[in-house]
Amino acid sequence: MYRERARALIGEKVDQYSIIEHRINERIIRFFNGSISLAATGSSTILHVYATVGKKSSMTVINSMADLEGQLKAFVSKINLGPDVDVAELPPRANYHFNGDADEQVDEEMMVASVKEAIHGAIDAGADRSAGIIRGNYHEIGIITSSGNEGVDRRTSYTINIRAFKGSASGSGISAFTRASAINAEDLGREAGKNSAISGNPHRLEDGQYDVLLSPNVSASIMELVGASASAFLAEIGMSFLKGMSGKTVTNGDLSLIDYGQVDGGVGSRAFDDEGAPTGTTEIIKSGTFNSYLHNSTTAKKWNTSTTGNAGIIEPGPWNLVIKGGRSTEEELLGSMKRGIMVTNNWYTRFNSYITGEFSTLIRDAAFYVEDGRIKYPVAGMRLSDSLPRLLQNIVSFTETTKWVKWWGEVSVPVKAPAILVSGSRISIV
Amino acid sequence: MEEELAHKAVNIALSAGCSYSEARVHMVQQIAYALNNGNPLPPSSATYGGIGIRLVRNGILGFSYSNILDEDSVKAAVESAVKFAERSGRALDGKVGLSNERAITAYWVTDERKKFEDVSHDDLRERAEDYDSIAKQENLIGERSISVSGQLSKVYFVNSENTIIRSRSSRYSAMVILTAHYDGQTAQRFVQYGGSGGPEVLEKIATRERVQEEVKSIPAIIKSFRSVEPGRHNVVVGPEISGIMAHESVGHPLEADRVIGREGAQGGESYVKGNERVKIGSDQMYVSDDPTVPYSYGYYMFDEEGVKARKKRLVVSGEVNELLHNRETAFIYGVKSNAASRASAFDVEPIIRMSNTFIEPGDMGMEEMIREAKNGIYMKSFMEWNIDDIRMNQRYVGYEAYEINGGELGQPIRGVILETNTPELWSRLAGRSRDLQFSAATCGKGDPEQGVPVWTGGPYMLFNGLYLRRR
Repeated sequence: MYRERARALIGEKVDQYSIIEHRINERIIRFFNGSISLAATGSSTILHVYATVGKKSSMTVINSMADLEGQLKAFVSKINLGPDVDVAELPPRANYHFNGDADEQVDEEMMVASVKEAIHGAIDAGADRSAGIIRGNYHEIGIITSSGNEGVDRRTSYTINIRAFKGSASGSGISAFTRASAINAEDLGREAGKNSAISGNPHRLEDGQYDVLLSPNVSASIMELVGASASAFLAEIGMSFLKGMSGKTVTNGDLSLIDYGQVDGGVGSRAFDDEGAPTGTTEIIKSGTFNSYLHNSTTAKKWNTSTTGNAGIIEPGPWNLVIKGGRSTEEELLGSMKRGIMVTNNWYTRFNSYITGEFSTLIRDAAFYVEDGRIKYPVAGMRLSDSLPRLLQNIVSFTETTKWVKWWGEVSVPVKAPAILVSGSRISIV
Repeated sequence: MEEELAHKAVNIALSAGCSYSEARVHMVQQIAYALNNGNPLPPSSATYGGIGIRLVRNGILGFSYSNILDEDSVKAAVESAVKFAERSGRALDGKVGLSNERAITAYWVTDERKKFEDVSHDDLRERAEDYDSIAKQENLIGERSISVSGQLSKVYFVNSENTIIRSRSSRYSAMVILTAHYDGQTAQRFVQYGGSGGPEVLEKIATRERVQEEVKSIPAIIKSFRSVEPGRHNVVVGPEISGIMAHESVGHPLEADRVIGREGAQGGESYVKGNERVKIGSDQMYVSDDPTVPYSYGYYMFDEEGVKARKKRLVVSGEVNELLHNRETAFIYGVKSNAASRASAFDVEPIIRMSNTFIEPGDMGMEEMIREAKNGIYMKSFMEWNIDDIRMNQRYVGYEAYEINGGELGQPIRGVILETNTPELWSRLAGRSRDLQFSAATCGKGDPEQGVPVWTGGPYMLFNGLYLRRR
């Protein structure tokens, strides 16, 4: 194991260290318009080394193991040349509890079968073509720290993204799994195909404020932004609308947003963070109130609190986000809408200001105009332009049922998200 | 040793029945220094790389990678790629072909006055502290995040058609994020500078003057209480906005892999269909992509398929003239590749990318443009932007913007939104200035996501009667 070699090389020369070894084995199949565009395999091992000497620290990433000794020697020799920085004590020795799925052999047969099933589902539901990707990943993370922590975390994950088209209309099926046997590729294909089939010939609405029913794909995108904004590091540098919001009511009193280090079905699960602290459960939003930032040891020391087990050496961040507290069904949410828009997906979210949370995002794939609780017709050409604080305050209700979402471009931290009804969001139309 | 392994990988794939194979040993070194609110973060470095092997087996494009550069690992990687390509072929056919390209042997480098190996964290620290000292002078700025980084890439590429390309390229970039507060209002600005060459390139592109200009503009921006009256206005945009428009509204939709649908589930498709020479703008519209611009952030001389780089004239006189191709799409279109294939690291497939995408300069002066606009809006820079996945519906929100009154620049205004579609935007292009300025960006595309360095650029541009909104 490279991490043990690294420890032998630097352990006596620095005050503190955290050495993390990632071993990855992955498979990818990409497809479009009825043909395979890429079948990819790969394996790699990479070391992340963080070390401190007095008030100085440095970090490096190495995957060229042939000259590990030379590279670590150079790394250690330069630590003393650096500036004084905030150095916190690494977390004390802890017992790690592992809870998750791990199969070192990525299930290639299941991936191939899933591609066929997803495409069949899309076409069967009315699409005329599709594009997509399935990724299977085995990820082993080993850690050794100077404070006596050692452990190995093994995880398997599969993510699917299928996009179906009928003419210029489209729909997406997106999800993530920790077991190959849980993959429901055909259902995702059907969801994508159905939405493409029923959203052709869309109308153009007028600019204005509408109630919006956000599907789990969309609410996951929004809630990932909220969860990421809970990073104490981002608050420090003005990159979070949650700066100064501790203890304040930020959203619907039913809603709790929880970060889980390990949770059933969560493909971001880890037993320990990059500093060796056991990951835990952090209620970021508790019954509508902003309850906790996410910390590593450095931000915790500055803020006079404890790490929440969310390191990143530099920047703490969420592992798996789960929204709880929903009481409605999607049918009830839809039925309660007087005049609004049902949105199945979104893309390309960008901020005008992270500290105010003003953003806009493109409505992607099928969307529908809703009047008096009924879907009237498909609509397109829309952009949701709002601010995170305002959108959160305007959450009317959300579903009890949730779905894991993680996909390219929009949701990088897995989110178990409900459908959410928001009142009076600004929609602009081109 | 590593070069020998690359040749072995190519030969193993051919022996396994592949019709084409290539291997790319891609080694990267990075160094970075950052200050948050004036406080240094732990300096960082990285040394990583490995071999990426691409092959064609029964029409399926296979790819595999390994960071372990020994014979057993490379052999295992090739065998794994072949086996998985065959297995995937049971789900669907593969139809991949590659355009015929000339075999080349070449070596290219970026000019470095100071070699990457001689650059220390102290070199980057001096520059970061200098930018920070400029930002600190403005009392309205509450939060500051400044980082300076450098990267050296060494690539050895060989394919089964006897092309061998070696390269050594280094790039440097600086990112400045400023957040200002005044009377309950905030203004936030991200600006990135980047170029290729040694660290001295930052002296050309990330000058103290450029940072000072950003800092000095903040009081007027944040104290402004005026915004635009929604409606049609003559609009002058600065080079920063010209660049993002060229990149998002022209460069991306003219990537041939999007046009054929290969990126349909990710970045999306395109308003261009098939081989159309569609008219998308006025006769004033000229857009190019050129990886050979000296010391540019998107610089390269040969792409990741070993094809010699050249300037691509994407749009000429408002009409689509040329798509961005790699060998895969060039084969489909029956043309030669124009060398748009790039990979961000050893462990990802090369895909079609932009390099330095820009609006060609025209013959007007900026002041002349303001006079011609007479009454309207000047949008100098932006923060928020986005565009839909066929690259029609786009939005640029002004960061620094001014009224134009009677042919002269007037008061600063806030919250100006230009939200329009591609033909509407470009059909209203009435003039381009003689200037050509570039901004640096990291363009994201592909799944797995690949960020590659690019320049976006252009002159000042005058548009007649664009519809503007406000926040």
